[in-house]
Amino acid sequence: MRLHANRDFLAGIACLLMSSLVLWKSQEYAFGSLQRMGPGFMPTMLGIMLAICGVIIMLFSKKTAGTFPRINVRALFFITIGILTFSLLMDRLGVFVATILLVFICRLSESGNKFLSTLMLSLALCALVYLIFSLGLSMPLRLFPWSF
Amino acid sequence: MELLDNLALGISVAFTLENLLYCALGVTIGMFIGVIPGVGHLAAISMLLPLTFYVPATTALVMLAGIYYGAQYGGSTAAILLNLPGTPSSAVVCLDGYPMAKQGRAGVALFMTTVASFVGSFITVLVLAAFAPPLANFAVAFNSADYFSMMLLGLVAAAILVQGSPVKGIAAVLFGLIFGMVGTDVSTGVQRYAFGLTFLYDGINIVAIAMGIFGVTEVIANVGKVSSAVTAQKITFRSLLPTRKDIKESIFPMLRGTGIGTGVGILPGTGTSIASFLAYAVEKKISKTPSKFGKGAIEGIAAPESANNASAQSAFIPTLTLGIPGDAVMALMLGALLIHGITPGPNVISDNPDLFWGLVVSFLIGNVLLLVLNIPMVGLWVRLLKVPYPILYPSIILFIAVGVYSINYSSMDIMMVAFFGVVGVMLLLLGFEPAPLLLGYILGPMIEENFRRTMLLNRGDMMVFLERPVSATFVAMTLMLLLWTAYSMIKSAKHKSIEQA
Repeated sequence: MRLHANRDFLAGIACLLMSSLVLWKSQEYAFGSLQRMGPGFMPTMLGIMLAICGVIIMLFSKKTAGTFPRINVRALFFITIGILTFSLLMDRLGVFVATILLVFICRLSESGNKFLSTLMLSLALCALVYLIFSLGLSMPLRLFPWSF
Repeated sequence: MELLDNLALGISVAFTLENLLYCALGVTIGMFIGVIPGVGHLAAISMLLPLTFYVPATTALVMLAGIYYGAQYGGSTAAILLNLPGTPSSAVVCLDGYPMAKQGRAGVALFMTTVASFVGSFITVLVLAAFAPPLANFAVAFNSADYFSMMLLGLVAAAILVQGSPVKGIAAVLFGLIFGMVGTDVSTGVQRYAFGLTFLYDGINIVAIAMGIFGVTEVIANVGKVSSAVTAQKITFRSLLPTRKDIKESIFPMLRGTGIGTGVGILPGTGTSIASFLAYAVEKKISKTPSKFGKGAIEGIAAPESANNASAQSAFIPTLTLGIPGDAVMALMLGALLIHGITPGPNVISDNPDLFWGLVVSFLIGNVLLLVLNIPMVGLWVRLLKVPYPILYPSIILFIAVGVYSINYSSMDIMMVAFFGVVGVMLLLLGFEPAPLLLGYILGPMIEENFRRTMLLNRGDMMVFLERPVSATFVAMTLMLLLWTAYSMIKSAKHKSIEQA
């Protein structure tokens, strides 16, 4: 059977990669016996089962594979960066700065000039976060870069 | 009259101001996210899970459940008016709901789906009240071997019954089980798969994983795709009223749909989408005029709508009696229970009667509220379809980020959300379903613990799983599912190769 680099073939490869990571790490944990399972028992079993699944998926891949769905790479990139920026800045510069940056970075997922509407949205969301989380749930959030 | 006492207890719990308020809030949010295409109930529940830490367990569940069944009501609105399913389970409603709208009968379709949702939910809540307590009493005698086999059935069912390839479903469950192992092993104290990162010692936060693979991934998949500029039809109150023929043609499909939905909901691992697809298929099969389907048959919206609502309610039966979540939403509900210090299992109902009966009564209240929210206010929801997604999605992302932070005040958890957002997109790209993954993640530690305990008590003898009648039944069901799947896979593979030749 000739193998093609189609969607399911890659899915099978992903399973094998994950499985080898799991099995490689599981060697550090004691396997134990069926009666006294060590911490390595489950990982080894799961790794082997995943490898079997991966091989089956690859073998059937020529027949089963569908087309790749279209992924919005731009949205993936900017939304991920937006969340990471938020997580890095909220403790250091406060939740307001982090919120404004998150909204602006996320909005880069689409094209078009929309500075004013984005600014309005980010300010409205700052107010909402303050009202819900700080006032409503009294969560200890650092608000401004200069607070505590 | 034990039932009356229980109901009285439920009424006293559900009618407190706080619970009424959270019930109303839950169903309104559910309706809201159900109506808007591109925001699912799973994302909404994981987003609001942190908010429920601040209220008692019953109140938390009342609200989360309200979102779940509220979304089942709302999902059909966009399906009928825009031919876009608001929730995955309302995809079937598009088939006949949108043609009805094109014939100028959008109002009737909206009215009948609301009534069907109400009938489906209401009957199933009564089933829940009648059958959950005896089932829980029966389940008290289960031991670790029975639990292991039951969870195995749940995982296999979740893996196989999803759309797409069953092997990929199993792989997704295995991914989930692997993510579930990260952190400290409970019995030995060994750090597994933490890679020396201290924030992983407690395991991966369930909210971070759920928000990542459902919330963030959903937003990424929908940016630029969902346009809300479509002008929806204007709905007047008068246009809602169905004819006598409409009502007559819908009664039995609704009841059949309710029956199917209830049955599907009780099975672990199945969700509302399967219930509505099955109900539609059954109606089409038994109909005297199958050619009507797809062209605006009222049976084609009544049956699936009552089925998805019925299964949303009956999914609580295994969750509350056995502690086994039927789908990813129920897994999050169990997470909420755990956070409030209630261990899911057969003792939940007897130890916390106020929780169970309060929840049952709140379901009834919530469904009546939804009826009121839907029928007189339908114009408002139709207008909601016009909220532009570019305003919505940065807000969703922000609330996900702040929400996950609020659990442990850890910005590491926010990073995990970003990580699982990327993982979710990869899963989408390669065609792995995220729901079985989450189920595997939740059940992983429980399944390992029960297997380990069984093996310890029985000196490593695997036969114990076949010796206990309850466990043997579940093992047999699991094997049957697997064999049936393997058979149909081989059959379809052969079929395809013949076609190609």
